[in-house]
Amino acid sequence: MNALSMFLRRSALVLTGALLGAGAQAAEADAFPTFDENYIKVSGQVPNFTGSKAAYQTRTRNATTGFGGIEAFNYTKEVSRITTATVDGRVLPGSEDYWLQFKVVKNEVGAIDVGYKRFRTFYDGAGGFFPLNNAWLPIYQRALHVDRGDFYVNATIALPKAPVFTFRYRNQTRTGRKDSTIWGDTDFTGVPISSLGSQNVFSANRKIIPAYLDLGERQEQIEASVRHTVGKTTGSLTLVVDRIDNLNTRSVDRFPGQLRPFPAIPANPPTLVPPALANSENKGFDQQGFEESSYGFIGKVETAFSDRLTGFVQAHLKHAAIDTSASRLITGSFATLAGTVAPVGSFTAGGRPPYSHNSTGDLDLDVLVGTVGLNAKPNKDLRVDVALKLEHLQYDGRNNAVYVNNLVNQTTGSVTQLLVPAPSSSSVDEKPVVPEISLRYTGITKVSLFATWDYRRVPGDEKFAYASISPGGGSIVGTLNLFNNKVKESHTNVRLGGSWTPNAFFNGRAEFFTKNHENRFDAYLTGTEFYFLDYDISGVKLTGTFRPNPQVGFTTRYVQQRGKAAIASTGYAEGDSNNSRRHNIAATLDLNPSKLVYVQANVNVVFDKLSTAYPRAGGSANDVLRNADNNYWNGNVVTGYVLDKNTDALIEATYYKADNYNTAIVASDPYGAGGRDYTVAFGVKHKFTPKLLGSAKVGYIDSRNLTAGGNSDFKGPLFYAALEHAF
Amino acid sequence: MKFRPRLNKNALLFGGAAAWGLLLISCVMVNRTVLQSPLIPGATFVGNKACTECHAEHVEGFADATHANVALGDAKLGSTGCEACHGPGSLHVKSGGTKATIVNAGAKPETCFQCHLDKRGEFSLANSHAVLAGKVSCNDCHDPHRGNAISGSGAALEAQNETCTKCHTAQKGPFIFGHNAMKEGCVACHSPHGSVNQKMLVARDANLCLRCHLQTTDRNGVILVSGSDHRTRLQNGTCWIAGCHEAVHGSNSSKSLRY
Repeated sequence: MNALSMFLRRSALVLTGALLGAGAQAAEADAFPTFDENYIKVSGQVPNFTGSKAAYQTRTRNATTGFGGIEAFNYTKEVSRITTATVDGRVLPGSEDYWLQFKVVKNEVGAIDVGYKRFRTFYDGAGGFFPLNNAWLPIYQRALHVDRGDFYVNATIALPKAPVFTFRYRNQTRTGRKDSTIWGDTDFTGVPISSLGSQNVFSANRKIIPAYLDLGERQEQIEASVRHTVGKTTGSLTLVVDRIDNLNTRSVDRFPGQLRPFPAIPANPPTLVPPALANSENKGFDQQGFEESSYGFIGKVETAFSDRLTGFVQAHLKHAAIDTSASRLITGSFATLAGTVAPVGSFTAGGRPPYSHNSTGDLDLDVLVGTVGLNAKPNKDLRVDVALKLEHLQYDGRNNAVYVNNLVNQTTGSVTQLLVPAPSSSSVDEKPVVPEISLRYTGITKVSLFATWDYRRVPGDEKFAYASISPGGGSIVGTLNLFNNKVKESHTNVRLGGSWTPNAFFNGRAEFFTKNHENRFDAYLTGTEFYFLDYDISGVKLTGTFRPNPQVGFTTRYVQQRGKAAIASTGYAEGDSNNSRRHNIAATLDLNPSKLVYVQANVNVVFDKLSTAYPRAGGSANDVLRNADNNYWNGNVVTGYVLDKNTDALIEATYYKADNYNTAIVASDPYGAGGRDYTVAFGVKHKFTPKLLGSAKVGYIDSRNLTAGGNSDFKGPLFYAALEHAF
Repeated sequence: MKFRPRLNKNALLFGGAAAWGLLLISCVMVNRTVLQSPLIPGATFVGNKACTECHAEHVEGFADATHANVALGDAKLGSTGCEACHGPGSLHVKSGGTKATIVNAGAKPETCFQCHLDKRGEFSLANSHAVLAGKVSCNDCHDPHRGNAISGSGAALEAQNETCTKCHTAQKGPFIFGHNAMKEGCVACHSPHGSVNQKMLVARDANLCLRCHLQTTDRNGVILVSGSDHRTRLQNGTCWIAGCHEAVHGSNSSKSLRY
């Protein structure tokens, strides 16, 4: 805090001095040039903070190393009277943010652009935190970031009065490593065990061990289309070819550093270890492969029957062939009389199947969608849009899994592998029908009114074959189960709203919305099993904008949403399962008291509560669950000054706070997000010459994260400088 | 004093290319002659027709757009059409379409934040799409010029979840055993603009799943899911943690979504 105080004092002194000197000189200020074409901007940023590097990178989206390079570059040349060539670029090593694009536009002929863009997203790898024992186990010391790359080619031939041809190619990649919320278990929580007779000699286990995901994703897309207008009819046909090749691997470490002792080996040790003895280190990964090849056609025809009536027909046909693969290999370590063994496969006898397997499978997907609609304007104030969407979705898939289990003799330590085949398949056939009606009316002076209604009805048929795996007779067996469901979904969505603009200074808007969704699944093989979900959402959005003059503006927006859900299922009458409320109030104030000063303030306040079983369930159920509170508020203030003829200054402050962390609950994981961030920044921009601008900023950030028990906190100053040169 | 027509706080707050996020330390600098977004110094409203001459592809479809619901054609009220977001266009028309004389709303979220101010707060959260960082734009997910701003809703030709799955292909499926929550849309579980919870989740705990899977709450002291009391399991953590229902988007090998 001392560092911050000193920083603030010094900054304030500098700023005060600068402002005192602004006065009369500012009145002579000339406009800064703006470089939109033929310029280069070189910049660099350096942080100097203490605390969690991973959290800094995640929160600020910047590398701890800082960055430096070409922040923006543009070269534009008029090749001829009607042809323009452009080169845009960005090269920022450190933040790994790159972009290079070549573009040529020839008026009334066409355009082509080729480019590659890439940026990096950081992750902090934070798992859970348990306050009772200050349990925080950052067991992975790996860099966590994902790079998104996008190579693209867009070409358009648009000759006058001729069909427009468009060609697009994209190759998008997503590679790197990110964190996961699928956390592993630990017994180092300090939560006392409830039974002294338990063989768990440590403490009750909780799942707070961080996990991570290695990503290797690629998507190639080729799109070719032609669009042409004849008279009052416009038609287009698009061919889309898509290839997806994903191989993602999730790594999980369960009970790291633990090896459950065997204080007393039973006389006849089981080959399947009892659950209480199984909490030794389990380390493994789950790899999912997904390869999709698809092609599709999209056709659209729109025609104007008259000035007041337009009709359209659209269709989309898609076929996809998908190959899947999976490999889930979990290696456990546990003690036997002969020493520690570490076979692949799980060991519990308590009903959990052995979750190590290798799988291959395939799916075929067919989608046919058609829409038809009319856009009518009966008079100048009324517009009516009617549309009907018909869809046929069908997919069939098969998966052949072979579960790997190892039976362990706890006396000799010998391992016997047991492979259990477990085929699965599914066949889904759905035929959604969606009518939609939209109305818009502007017949009332200075008022626009609108209403939208759509109803999605989905009759469907699902057929599943699933081999469940369970322990039986000292071994692992698979049992084939069949589940067939009749599906019936009905979703009604309604929006009503209006905008009122009595004068150029004020605008008020209101929108009311409801969603009534019912999903029912009836198992027609047994004739008795069913699941029914009734989900209702309703809310209102109110927005008001007041701008009495160009120097003052105030906008506020209130969004309220209420959600309720109830489910009924085999043997259980319909009962409430969700009751959620959200209030969001936001406001923006703009002040420009003179051409030399501006102020903008924004604030956003959210009250969000989601309640399911708590506290209605009662009894000990209330010990393991609390409501999900997601309240927070954040805001920022930014103000700028013209200091003198060639110099401007800026001050900005931001604040964020969430206070939902519930440390009281010890029978489960602590719930709720809690944290506080604030930043302050001062900036100066100076015009050296009409073609050379320089800018510098210094800021301070302080971030605290209660959800991570303070282990993700960081604070410190940052420095940024840039030069812009036009050529 | 003479002021060149300039963009305003659009450029001022969000006008750069890199290093935004929580601390707008870089790229955010002063530009003179600041006015409320999207006003442009010295410019006046010219109406949508003037825009059509060069940007027909955007203007022609606007009548179908969600944003047209609040449009009024009264120039005395300012613009509620193109210029409501892009700023008054007289100088842009006069200059022959130079970039510096109009607000490029697609590249800067500040234009959208004029009305959707709540989204500014959500994008400022730690768990959010990198819109303020300039790496993702509002236009990547929403088309303000044509059709429903929330793509895939109603009778649109597109699929409901296409907005999300065009980038998040691993979650797209189909799967042998899909999670029916996907039929309600990705937003049933995620707040796509930002959340206080990791992975932009609507809730960070078991409540997320219990909304649709809780079988009874009639004060019997249990938490029933699929006919099984889950109290003991919920002690350990969330529903999707290790060993439980990890395959939240769908599984090819486990009907209970355990990968």
